[in-house]
Amino acid sequence: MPVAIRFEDVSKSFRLSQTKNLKEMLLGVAGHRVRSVNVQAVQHLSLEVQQGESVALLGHNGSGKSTTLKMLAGTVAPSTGRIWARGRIAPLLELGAGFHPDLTGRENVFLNSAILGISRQEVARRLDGIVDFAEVESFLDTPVKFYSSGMAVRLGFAIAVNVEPDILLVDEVLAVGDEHFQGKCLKRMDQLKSEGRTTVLVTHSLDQAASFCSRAVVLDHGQRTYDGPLEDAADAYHASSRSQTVEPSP
Amino acid sequence: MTTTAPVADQLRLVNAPATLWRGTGQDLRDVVASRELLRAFTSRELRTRYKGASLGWAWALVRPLVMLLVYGLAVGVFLGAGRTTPQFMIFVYSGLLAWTLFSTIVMGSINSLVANGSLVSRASFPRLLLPLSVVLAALVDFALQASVLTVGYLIYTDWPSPSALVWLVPSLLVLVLVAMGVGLALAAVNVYVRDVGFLVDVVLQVGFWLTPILYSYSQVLGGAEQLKLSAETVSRIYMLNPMANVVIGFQRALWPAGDTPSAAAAAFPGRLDVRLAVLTVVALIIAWLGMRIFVRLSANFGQEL
Repeated sequence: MPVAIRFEDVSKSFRLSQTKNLKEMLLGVAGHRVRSVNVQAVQHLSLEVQQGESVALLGHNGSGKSTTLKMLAGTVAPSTGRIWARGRIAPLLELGAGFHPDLTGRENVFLNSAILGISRQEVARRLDGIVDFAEVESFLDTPVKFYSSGMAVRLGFAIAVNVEPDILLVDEVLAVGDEHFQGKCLKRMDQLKSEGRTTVLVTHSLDQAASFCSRAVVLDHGQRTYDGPLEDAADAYHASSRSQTVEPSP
Repeated sequence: MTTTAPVADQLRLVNAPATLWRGTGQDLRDVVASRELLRAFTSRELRTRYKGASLGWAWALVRPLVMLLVYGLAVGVFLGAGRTTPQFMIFVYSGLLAWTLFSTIVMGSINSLVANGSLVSRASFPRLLLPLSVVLAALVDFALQASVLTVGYLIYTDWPSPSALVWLVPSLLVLVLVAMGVGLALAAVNVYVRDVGFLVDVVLQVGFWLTPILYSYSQVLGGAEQLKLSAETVSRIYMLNPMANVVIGFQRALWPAGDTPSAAAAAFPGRLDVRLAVLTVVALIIAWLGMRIFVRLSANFGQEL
């Protein structure tokens, strides 16, 4: 199987308490040092994922797993190193982040799909499948602001999995939604897996990872401490220190 | 349904770094390739703006028309500009049209990233599309606002000649390119330093009064005389403002009374065609620079928003 994702010595550091306004900036220029902290979110991460693999990124808060996923999604640029990916990447937008509250469900499906790079004709073709999956038939022409949070999440997930991504990125969103829908999501993700698509799942629940992934990568303070079969990941995961650093929330 | 997904063509670099100089062609190709998304953003921009307002689209017209009435009364009647400038309302509206489009593009571009922060921080798409959709939506508003002029022409039964309307082409081109370039650069900076929006608001207020919208070019020269300054120097500095040239171009195109002898004294005597030709080149450079600054700074928008 060809390589789907490749990280080449990727590092990411954030400067916390960056100058956010003109006043601080001018003070900085004037010689008053504005205090800032460098946080190494990800350090020298090299990684290869084969097409069709399902990988769980495990780690505690502040381990850098979300940052890793964001760099892969292309919303955050690595400080050093390079990331390669093959095909269409569909990040599962958290809680319908791409939804505009004043637009109807239908309009948002088209907008969200366009963001994922799907043409109008293709969306029109898949609309029934998306609506079916999300179970929002009767609300399709209702503005999304009247949706319950569960409905919005379902619609967001339905779009992401129905556009046939080559690489699906899932960031703990499965924690939301009722059991019935979670089961449905896992089933759909299994189906995507059997079609040879690649999935990266970020989670701190070993159980959830176990139900879907065969390989685990454990991150601890931005460094990889384990990479191998999921069954043997538990030790590394529990060993990874719980000492709390602030997770920089980009 | 167990089909095997086809192996996608190539390993691509995610978030390929941009430099100031290289990548212009690639960025333009990316925008063209994402034209469906550009259309989706534009239609969202247009659809959501007046959603929930019962007057809906009419609001696009309310602001310029109210401003027109206020200026017509305050400047045209009270200050007496209406006695020296024929068809004063059309004169003012021509300039207002240009200025409204300019400030809508600049302010809209600046706000487009912050307003879509949750989207930018979670999904990857060419960031240029957000400010570009603002430009397209502003042009739709502009067309709507410009159509009101026909009412004015009907009232005065005086229509602009086709040869006059040609001035609209270079003027509009310069306007959009400059507004876009400035808007793109400031939008990117605004992500990192949020003061930009407020600063630009003030600068636009000043710019409005330094552009011959409510007064004519000849009154600038009259003012120079009063201040005992050389008319030539004042004119040269005043006309450095691209929007002054654009507004004069708009007036030549859309203000039919400008052709009459009584208005000739108020008109700009210089070679507007040459000025607009030079400005088109300058505007292209501004637009290109703005785009490069925007793209250069865009790699980390997702973490700042």
